[in-house]
Amino acid sequence: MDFNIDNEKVQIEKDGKAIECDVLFTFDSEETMKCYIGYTDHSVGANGRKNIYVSSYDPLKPKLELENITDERELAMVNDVLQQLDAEANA
Amino acid sequence: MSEDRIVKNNTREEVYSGTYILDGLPISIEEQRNRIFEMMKKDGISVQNPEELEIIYEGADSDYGESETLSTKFTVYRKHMTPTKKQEQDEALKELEMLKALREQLKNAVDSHDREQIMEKITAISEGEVIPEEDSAVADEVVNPIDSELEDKDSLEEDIKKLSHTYDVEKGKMTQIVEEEQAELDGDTLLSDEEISAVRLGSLKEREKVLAELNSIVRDINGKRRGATLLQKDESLGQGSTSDTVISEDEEKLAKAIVPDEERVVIQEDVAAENDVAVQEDAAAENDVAVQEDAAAENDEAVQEDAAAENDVTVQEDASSDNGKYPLAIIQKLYFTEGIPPMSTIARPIRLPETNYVVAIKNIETLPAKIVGTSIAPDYTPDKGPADMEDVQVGIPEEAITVEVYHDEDNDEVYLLKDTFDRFHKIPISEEKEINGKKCYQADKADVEEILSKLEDDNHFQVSHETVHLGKKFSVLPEEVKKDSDDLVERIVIYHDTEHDNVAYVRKHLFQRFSLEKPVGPEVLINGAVCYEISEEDAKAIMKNANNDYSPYRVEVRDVQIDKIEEPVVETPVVDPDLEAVSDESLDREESTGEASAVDSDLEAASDESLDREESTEETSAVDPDMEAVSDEPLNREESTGEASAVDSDDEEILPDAPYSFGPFGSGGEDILPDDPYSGIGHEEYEDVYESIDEIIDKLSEGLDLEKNIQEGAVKTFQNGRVNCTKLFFDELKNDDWEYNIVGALPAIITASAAFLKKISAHIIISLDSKERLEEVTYRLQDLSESELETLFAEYHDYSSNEENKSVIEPLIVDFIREYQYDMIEDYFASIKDSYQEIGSLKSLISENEQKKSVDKENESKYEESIEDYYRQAAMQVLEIKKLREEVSYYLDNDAYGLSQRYLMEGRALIRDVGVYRLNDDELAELAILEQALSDSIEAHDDKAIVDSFIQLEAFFGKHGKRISMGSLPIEYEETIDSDSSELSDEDIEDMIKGCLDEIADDSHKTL
Repeated sequence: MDFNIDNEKVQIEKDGKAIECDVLFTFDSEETMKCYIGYTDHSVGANGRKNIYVSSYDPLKPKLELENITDERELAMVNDVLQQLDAEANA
Repeated sequence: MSEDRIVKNNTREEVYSGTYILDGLPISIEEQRNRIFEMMKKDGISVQNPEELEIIYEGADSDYGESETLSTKFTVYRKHMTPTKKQEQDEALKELEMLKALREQLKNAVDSHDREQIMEKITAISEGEVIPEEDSAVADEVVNPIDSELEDKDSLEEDIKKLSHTYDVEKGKMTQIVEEEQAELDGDTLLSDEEISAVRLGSLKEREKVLAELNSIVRDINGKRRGATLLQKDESLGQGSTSDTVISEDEEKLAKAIVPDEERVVIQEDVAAENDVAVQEDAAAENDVAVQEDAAAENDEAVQEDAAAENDVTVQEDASSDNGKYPLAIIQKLYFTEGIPPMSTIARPIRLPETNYVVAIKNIETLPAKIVGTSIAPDYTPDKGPADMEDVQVGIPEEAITVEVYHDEDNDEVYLLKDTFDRFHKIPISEEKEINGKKCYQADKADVEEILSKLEDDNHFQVSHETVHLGKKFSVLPEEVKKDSDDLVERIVIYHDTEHDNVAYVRKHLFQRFSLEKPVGPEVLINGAVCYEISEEDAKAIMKNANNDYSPYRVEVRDVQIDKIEEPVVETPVVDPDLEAVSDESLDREESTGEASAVDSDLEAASDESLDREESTEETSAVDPDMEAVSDEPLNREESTGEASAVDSDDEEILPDAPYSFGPFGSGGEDILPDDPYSGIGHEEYEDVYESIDEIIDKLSEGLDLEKNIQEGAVKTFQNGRVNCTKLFFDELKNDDWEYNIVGALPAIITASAAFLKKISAHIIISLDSKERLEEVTYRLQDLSESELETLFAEYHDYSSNEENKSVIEPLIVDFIREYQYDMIEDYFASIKDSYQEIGSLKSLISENEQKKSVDKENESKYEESIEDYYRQAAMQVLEIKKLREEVSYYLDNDAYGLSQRYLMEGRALIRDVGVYRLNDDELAELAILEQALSDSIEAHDDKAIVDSFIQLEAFFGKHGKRISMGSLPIEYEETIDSDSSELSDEDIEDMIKGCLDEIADDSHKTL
């Protein structure tokens, strides 16, 4: 495939410490006119679930910056995308 | 009462009747009888021999409380005294003895006068006359002859004493038995019902024995007493006998021992009612069971009636059920352990006339309130219930059944307990899940609604609802989510042209978003985004409806300055031909500023940042030529060559052709895009079948002007799709059972390479119309007929190799063909697998029938026929496999469309070269022979040979381990044989073949 996001990374810097995360998926939304990236540091939360971090950015902005997603509807959209991926993987 | 006046009668005559008042304190039966006798005397009725009088009460007056006096009518009957058979015999014996005595007297008579008197007596006796009492001495003498065998008086008295003592002893035993029984029943050990019955039965049996002994003693005493009486009478001619006193004392002793004094009279009367005078005395004094048995044995109804009349239920029951076996007093003593209650307190059965009873039921309204039930008398106030009675709450029955309903909010599902399904005969639609420690199953919502509607008014059930969260595979961490976030999902920007009042621009996609009228004016670029002017009304409407319920958004108005026309993106701007009508308007604009792109004042502040983007621009352009159009610095736009923009005042023709309009809000253009890009509705249906590849390609691209308006980069970008997933994550979703937290906010700085970000964002900013046209191509590919697809598959490879036929949509076509073929081959693999399985089953049937044929000679022809049929079916499956493999080979051999890449991507390599691996020359030669045999058998239409040849081939590959493609489908399985195959028997090989066939069936579509 020409479009291959394997081996792409996202860095998380917190308290001076940098953590490299693997990109898992990307998608964009014409509705929000934003792009979304899902990535993970393969950590497991307190509830025993794996953590997937999702960030968005506006491709039309001068500076491409990854932003947090706090809106419930956007997160629901991310959830839907993941559900689709899961369904396709297990089809 | 003399012995000879024992009366048993079954006939009676009425002598008196009257009304007896029952008011006052209860009195004894005897007193009541005496009162009645007084009444009779007052009325002049003889009360001689009261024991012969029987009183029948008719019951209390049935005025049901209307009168203040309770009374009863009664009738007095005199019972006729008829002797019993025994009595008759005794009297006959008496007469005989008297006659004998008179005869002796006659023999010894000297005087003729004496002789005449004796003769008169003899005549009287023979004629049945009763001898007068004055002659009772003679009569007694005759009746009670002194038996020479009678013992003397002293010995009789002594015997009576002994018997009395024995009687006491036996009576003591009786008491002891009763006490033992009671002790056992009241013991610490809890007895079962069966054990209690056994104890009582055992006690009863023992008491029966004692009673029999007592009866025997009483009879002996009676005999002795009679003898003593005779002796006494014999002596009474001169002097009295002391035997009476002795007997009386003994009699009293016996009576007292069994029955208290106060009951003696009553019992005497009871026994007298049985018309047995002597027994009455004895029974009253000694409870003579034998006499009562006689009375019962003769079915003396009068006795029963009298007993009932005397209101002595116990006697009646004894007389009717037990045949009066047991003395009343004994029974009373046994059951009234605390003392026999006075007879007056024993309930008297009142004989209600049946008609009155029926009337009472019918006229229930007339009953006093205290008698009637609670539901009839409105003023009835029931008595207070027992202290330990608890009030029962009306409405909710005790222990109402709870139906638990669990609502899974995460998945919008409803769960019930298993017993709820059983109770209401519903079927769960999922496997068991544990909720709150209980086993639950998912229920169909319609079933749940039905159950709840049934229980709505049923007090026997109560429903409990509970919301649970069973979780989803992907769950958003609640603490990361802000529900009332200021960052709205959608941000609508309206660009306000500062140079021209009331002129606003929005991005192109918003026209479709808000179903606006077609855009007016030319296309302009604002911040790199294609925008069009909207009317003031539309702008106001957008701002007004920002807070709608279904899809709210935030409106941001930005002032822009559209000072000159900006060079559009690589693609030629698309203008609706209808826009020509507004060219005048655009001309006006030209006069003003010859507008270029709008300059967002905000961007000017970001000029510093834009310097960084210059570098990235180069990267971006390398990835996606579309991105080149997105100038990093708005100021750079001014330096653009300023090639003709969307609007040029000098040349109307600059307005490019608009092959189509903007979707649903456009009306112009010959070719209209479908309203819904995903429905395919709207494009023309081609009736003709395009057979040649040229015609098929033309069909796919007709009207889309693909060559002019769609760049190859756009096609690739389009193909990449909107969602990309890494293989690692894809595999993880497929193979693992992880559940995930979606974390949207991290308290950290998150960075990624700009190149990566730009790469993945390219898709979103290719022009929408390009995307729509490419999607149209995809729809048309899917609508191709079978024959067109065949042509496409067969010829497109060569067609596209010609440079003249290069098409911008080639990647789409190739991708489509590859996917289509892949799906087709997968279907072939599945069919081959089925055929292998079928052959295996048929081979088993063949073997089975051959065995039967060898044993059952009579039905040999039948088995032979079956075997032939199975071979025929198996041969058909072999041919089917061969055909499917050839089909697959056709596609794989060419591999014109990179199908192998797809398999590689999935980890499935196709090994297709025969002879490259493992087989030596001899083996190859053997393989060739086997393949030839198969071909020959097919040609000869020999079903058995076809199947056998096929199996031999499969056995060959199984024997040599790794199977190489027979020119078509490659199959690989583990080696099953290490040793020389000649050491194997035919049976072993048969088994191996069958095993191989099974494995092949499973692995027929796998390769590696």
